[in-house]
Amino acid sequence: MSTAFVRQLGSESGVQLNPLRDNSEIPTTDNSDQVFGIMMRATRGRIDKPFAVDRGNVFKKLGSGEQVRLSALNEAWVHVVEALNKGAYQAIVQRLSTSAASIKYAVVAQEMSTGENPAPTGDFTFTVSETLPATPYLFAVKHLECFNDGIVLEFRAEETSSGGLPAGNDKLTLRLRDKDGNLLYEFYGSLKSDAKDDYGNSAYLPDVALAQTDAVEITTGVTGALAVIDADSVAYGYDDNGQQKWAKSGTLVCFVEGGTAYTTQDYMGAREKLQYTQFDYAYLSSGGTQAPALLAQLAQLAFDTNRQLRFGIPGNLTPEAAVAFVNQLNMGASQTAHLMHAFWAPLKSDDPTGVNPHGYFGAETLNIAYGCGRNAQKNAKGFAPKNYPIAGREWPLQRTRIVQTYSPTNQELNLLARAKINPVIYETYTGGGRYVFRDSLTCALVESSLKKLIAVADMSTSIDESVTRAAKDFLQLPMDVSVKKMRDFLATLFEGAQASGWLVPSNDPQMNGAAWAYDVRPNEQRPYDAMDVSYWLRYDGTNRQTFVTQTLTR
Amino acid sequence: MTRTVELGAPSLTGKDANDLVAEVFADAAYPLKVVVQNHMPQDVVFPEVEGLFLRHVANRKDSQKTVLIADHDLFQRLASSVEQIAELNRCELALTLSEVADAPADTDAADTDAARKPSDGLSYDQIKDALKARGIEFPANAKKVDLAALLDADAAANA
Repeated sequence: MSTAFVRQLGSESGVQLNPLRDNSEIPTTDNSDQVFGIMMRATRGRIDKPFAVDRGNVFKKLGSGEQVRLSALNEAWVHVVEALNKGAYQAIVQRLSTSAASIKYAVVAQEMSTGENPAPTGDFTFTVSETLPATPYLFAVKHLECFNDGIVLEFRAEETSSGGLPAGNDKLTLRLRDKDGNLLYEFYGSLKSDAKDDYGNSAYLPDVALAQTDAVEITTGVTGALAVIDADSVAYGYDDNGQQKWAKSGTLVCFVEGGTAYTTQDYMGAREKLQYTQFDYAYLSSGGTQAPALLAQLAQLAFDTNRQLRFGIPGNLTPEAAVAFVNQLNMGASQTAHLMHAFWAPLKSDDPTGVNPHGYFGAETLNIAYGCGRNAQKNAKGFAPKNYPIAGREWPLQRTRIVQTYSPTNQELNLLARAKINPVIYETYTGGGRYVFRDSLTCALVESSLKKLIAVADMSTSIDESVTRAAKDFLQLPMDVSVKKMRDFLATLFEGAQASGWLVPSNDPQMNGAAWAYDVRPNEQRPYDAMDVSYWLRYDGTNRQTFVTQTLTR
Repeated sequence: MTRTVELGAPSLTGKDANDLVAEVFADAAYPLKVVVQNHMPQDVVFPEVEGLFLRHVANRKDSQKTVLIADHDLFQRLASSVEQIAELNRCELALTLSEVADAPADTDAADTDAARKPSDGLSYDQIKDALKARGIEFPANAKKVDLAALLDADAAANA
């Protein structure tokens, strides 16, 4: 093929084709508003950084759950599983751990005969060790996904021959399974560090594992002629029936959770990991935690990341205790109190996951899940109906055998509303009664302000996210170009928001009847390298109270 | 000797609540019965420990409660929470937790224990808490004697 152009033209005659210039890109949002973050105790999951789970892998990654009667901390697992099945796209999980937690090596070594001249028996030993052994071993596996219930290793080598006789093979297939036999990983590599595959890439087992995942670290403990699976071993070739021979371990418990005595430093460490993760999420869930210390860290995270925190107040508390629970956290004093949303569900129900008996399960993560499901339904302009809060008639609790254990009086409902707590209780509507999120208040200590409404918090955080994301895209451009791009972006964004019902005309005299206004300009003091972006928006509100009067006339 | 620990905001006391609890209750046996006294001017609730809802310090009767702490880990988590609430509210002394001393041993102790019912000496609220802890359901407006009978019967059945 002869091309009619070159990429760089010198002095010669010819045609230079420049790379395609793309001015068509429109800033868009991803589906992070269908994802929530959570800090929780789990029986599986890495402890060094957050990881994503979805409804397809939640059992594999977080385990099968333990009963709440063993530890109240296990409620978080129920929340995550339920949320993923009821609308959440993903959960970003930071597993809580203490300094006593430790990950150990699963060490595989050749079994040696006893006596004066020890020799390989053809079998293998599987042990768990804090450190790598000083004595030779075949290989060691460090599984960073930290299964409390342990892992199982199995490996085998294919038959090879040398001079017509079976010879030891340095290449082996290694499988990691969970204790129930479900396959987690499979690697095919060599025990020799200089091994290459057909494409010249490293076939060294540790390198193969590293290329495939960062959750498994493998080290080898033999070199040279010893770095093989012997032909007479139980992991070599085929048995008399032609079946593959595998050397298989029992369940190796390589992770010690080290208890659940979480200190403030443990909570803070988890918070920082969730803040600086590469995963994005729009909501934070408390996961039914009863620990004010964890809630305080989540509130800080909500402030740092401008994400909404939805937390539950234990359903077995009375309204007075529920108010004390919220007040002691002093959330109203936060600058971002509108990002914190409290739910109190005095309801007992069947466990949606089936692991626990009938009991109290918080509803805050379910509220987030409904929100995630709603956010997936974007209109033609890319806006989800966030002006509809997850509350009231259209969002009943999808659980079975719900029993309300406390029926607040009107005065107690008033007390809860003043404390900015949203009750989740039975209400009667056209078509029948149901258990619903009765209100949609944020923790902002305001009386008549848009800041008190969850729908406004949802929309304003979404707008903030879009604007800051676009602003980041426009960094490191010429100032004039950056200002123009930002203005164009904001005009399009706000027009779309108004068309989608998020914004309504303002009656503020300065707004001149407009629903939105913005101002983008180079900073007055630092016009060479700083740009100021300001915008004023009038969001639509939520009808929380309706006053009805009938007047009889003649 | 009765062990007591005073918990407050670490930034004001200079002491870490987890360290204090670990030090004072190092050899404690669990479940551990403790009396918790609130010194803060506000109501506090720590749902991690069943029934731990304390009124403000001026309410002499209800600012103190006896609760059962199931294990060491729960005690540490409670300390973390108390520390956090004390820090948020800038309280140098937030709560005092004192171990409830066992009754002095005497020759008739066995007889006394046998005759003693689990509901003896408990208030109405404490009996309700104990029933909840055992997972026994009861009518919200039940009388104290009925609740005590429920508790004693359950204890006898499980003895």
